[in-house]
Amino acid sequence: MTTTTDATGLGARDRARRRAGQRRRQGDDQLPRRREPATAALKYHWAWEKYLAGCSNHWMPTEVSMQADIALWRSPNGLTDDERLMIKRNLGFFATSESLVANNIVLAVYRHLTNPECRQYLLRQAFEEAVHTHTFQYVCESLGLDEGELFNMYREVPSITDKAAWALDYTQHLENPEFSTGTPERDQAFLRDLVAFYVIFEGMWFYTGFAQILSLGRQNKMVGIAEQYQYILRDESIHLNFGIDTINQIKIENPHLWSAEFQAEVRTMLKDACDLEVAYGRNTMPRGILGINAELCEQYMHFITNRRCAQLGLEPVFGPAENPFPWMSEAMDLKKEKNFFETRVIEYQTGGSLEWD
Amino acid sequence: MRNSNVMAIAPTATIANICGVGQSIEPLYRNLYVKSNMSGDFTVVNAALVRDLKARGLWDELMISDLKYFDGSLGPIARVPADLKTLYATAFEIDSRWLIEAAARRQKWIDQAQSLNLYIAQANGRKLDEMYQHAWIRGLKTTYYLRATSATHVEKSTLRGTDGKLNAVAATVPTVQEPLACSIEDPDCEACQ
Repeated sequence: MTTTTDATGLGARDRARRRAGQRRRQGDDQLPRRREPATAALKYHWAWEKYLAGCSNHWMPTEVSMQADIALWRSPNGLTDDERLMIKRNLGFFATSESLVANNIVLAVYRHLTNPECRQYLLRQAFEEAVHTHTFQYVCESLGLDEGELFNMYREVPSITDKAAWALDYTQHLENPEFSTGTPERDQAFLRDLVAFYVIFEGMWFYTGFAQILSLGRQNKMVGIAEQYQYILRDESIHLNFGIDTINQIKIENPHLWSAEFQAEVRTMLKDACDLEVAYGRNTMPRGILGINAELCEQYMHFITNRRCAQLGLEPVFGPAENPFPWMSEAMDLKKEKNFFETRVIEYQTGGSLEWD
Repeated sequence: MRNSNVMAIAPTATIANICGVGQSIEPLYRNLYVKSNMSGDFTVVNAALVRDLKARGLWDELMISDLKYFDGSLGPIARVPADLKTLYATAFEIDSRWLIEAAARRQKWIDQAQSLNLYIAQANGRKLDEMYQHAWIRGLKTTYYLRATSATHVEKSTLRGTDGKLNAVAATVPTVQEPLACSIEDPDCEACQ
């Protein structure tokens, strides 16, 4: 394992080796600084598999009909004021978050995670973030919402500002051109960023929002947005688990980074992030709506936080917590047999990724 | 009366759900799934399977969790007897060849075309090609939807713990580090040369 400040992934040693006619062997270097040209044999198959899965799951927001949503949004008695506030703040949070996540990939993670198959996935993920930002722009336009209001919420709604500010701290550290991995402290800073964005941003903070919209969809309200969110949730599930796999791979290759102190620090991060999310729940649902309120979302966030701990091999942060929304079984867990004429089918794979053996 | 108007098979998906029965010529989509249409999402469970599992003392919380985990398929659940697995095979577990064979036999007695849905568990170009060539060779007038599955799914949210289906790397760190030594099986070892 050697250090590099070379973001191309092709360091001086590689050039020297090629001159000497030597081929690189698999596993010469390790995450996050392994340097290899993009043609080399795959080392991290899981990253390549996730890239392929992302491609097979391709979708565009404009494929989902927003007609029913537009009619409901315009109808004066279609939604309560509480529901409208929740929807607007929810969209406001996501609209900005998707671009923050995309920036973190392109400006921070991509520079330091130089393994080609991981980078291949990062590029796919960056595109998916663009699709998600497109979704919010499309929803905003369909419903005739004020774009300025929506995309500025991260400045104006305190709990959204707090979340964005908390996460930006981690990414700014890595965006610094002087920053490179290579010492335990800096490698840990890189891990912190992965935890902040993959585990917390995409794996925790999006989940209250998903629950809110799916809860409306369950009552046949804003069904177009609910369908968009099902696609986003499917994408985010791979994003999150790419992050988890990357972190766990770095742990395996660099056990010294995953010290007791660092584990304690990550658990504190998860706990703080959960508190920020609980505040967001209160901000978006000051009075609660049918089937969902801030207290239930707090319990749900404890449940999700403990799950993320388990995925990282950490002790749970909270006591045993159950998912307070049993209806998620219907909305998320079970396979759906959809009517092709009435809604867009989610169970498909794009033709281009078909195998022919 | 023209012969072409005597016998038809109506698509019965939604009607069947409302009546609580299977969809005439269709195999079971899954033993536990959600029917999703313009009116909303509706959980559908195979009542006959529940009855049979109850009779054998196998219908409990664990069975419900297992059915959720395995997407309404009995195949991977060890404690389900083989005869029930065969009887309640889902559309994705039955080779589509048999759906086509049955449709071909049936076609003779139907004046109009059939709404024959086909299913494919792991979509593959060769399998699709063989399936549709087979339908053509057997003389089917039509096929209807092709149902597949997406490449990945979201994590099950109402099961205990995480289902871990999307993770490939172990969360535990090996506690003992291997001592650094050169392998005698590696003739290219730079340190030894």
